Amino acid sequence: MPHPAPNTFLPLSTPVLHILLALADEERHGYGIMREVKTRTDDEVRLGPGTLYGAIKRLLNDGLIETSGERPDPAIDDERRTYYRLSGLGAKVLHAELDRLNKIIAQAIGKQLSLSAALSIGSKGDLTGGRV
Amino acid sequence: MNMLTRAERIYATLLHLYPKAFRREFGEQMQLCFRDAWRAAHLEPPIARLALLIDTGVDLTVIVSKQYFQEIQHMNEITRARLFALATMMSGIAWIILWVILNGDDTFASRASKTASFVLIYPTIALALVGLARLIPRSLSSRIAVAAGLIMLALSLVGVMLENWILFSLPLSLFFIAHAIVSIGILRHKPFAYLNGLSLITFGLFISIYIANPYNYTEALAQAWGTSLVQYTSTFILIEMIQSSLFVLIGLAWFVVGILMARISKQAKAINI
Repeated sequence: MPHPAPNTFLPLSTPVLHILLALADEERHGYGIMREVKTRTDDEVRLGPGTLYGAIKRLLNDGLIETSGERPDPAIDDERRTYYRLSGLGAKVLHAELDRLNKIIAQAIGKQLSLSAALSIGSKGDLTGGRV
Repeated sequence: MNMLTRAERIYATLLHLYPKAFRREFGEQMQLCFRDAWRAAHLEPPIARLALLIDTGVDLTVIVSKQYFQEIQHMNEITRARLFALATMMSGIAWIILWVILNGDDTFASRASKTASFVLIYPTIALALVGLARLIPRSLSSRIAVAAGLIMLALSLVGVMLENWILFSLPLSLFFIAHAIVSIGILRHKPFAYLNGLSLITFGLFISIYIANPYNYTEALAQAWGTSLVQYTSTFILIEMIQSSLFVLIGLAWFVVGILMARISKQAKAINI
């Protein structure tokens, strides 16, 4: 069965986006994902175990992530842990979401520049008006 | 037993609140997650442990309900109807038992408790009957449900009139209006599911707020202190408080049923509440 188009999964919720981002560079277990998200966002996004595994369940069902049989560091690892990795579809969805966010940011930056320009013109006008 | 083990054990016990399928699939992993987070928090100032406990409590509350809602959404219509029927029947039976207990003893049952139980008993019986009817897999069941509901609605109208000389300006009449909507909504569950769910939510909230009013406790205390202390002892106050707490719990149960119904209805899904 062909995969659904990545755009059909967008926009991603905050936990899902952060989970996919956490898995973008390496396979991680649940607590690894929690810790990575917490560190990367400077403690702004904290995923509880329920939120995390609720999202993982959906991501597994949608085929955006998959479980990994490999254990990257078996010497210090708990055997009971399940590792997760991004699937091909998951990577495409993540890229599509990042593209979407990039466009929004670009638009916001564009507006900010316009606003700065307007403020600049406005202040000049005021000065001129003051002189007249 | 040290703190670490105790917290982990409590969390492991709380995991039983999740739906069985979810717990079987992810319970162990979640337990490992909490264990690691808890141990990591021990390396930080004590506030980190408190923050983790609060986060975990909120997480548990939100996600447990969410998982149940998702399970309900994936159920087929018949299972949903049976679940609904079971919930309404249980609430009906609970109310009947409570009503009999409260009204069976004039010494201990306060006026506020009795009035509330009186007003609420009829729609609850209606709910129970409709629930029963929904269990019958025949088209006749809907007719039985409608008839039973209408009878109970009429009874509740008469009941409220007799008990309170109904005046629509009285706050208590809101109870009547609310359970009339509930009863009608229940009877036409499918088309008016959203309204029905909302009315149940409002109803449950209203009951909770009304019954949880400190006035009820004050009244109980005043009765206890104002009359013979020989007759009204602390047992009386305790029973009053237990009764009122039961009402609050049942009010909240209605609230939950309301949310459940609003969530499972197609209309609710369409507007994404």
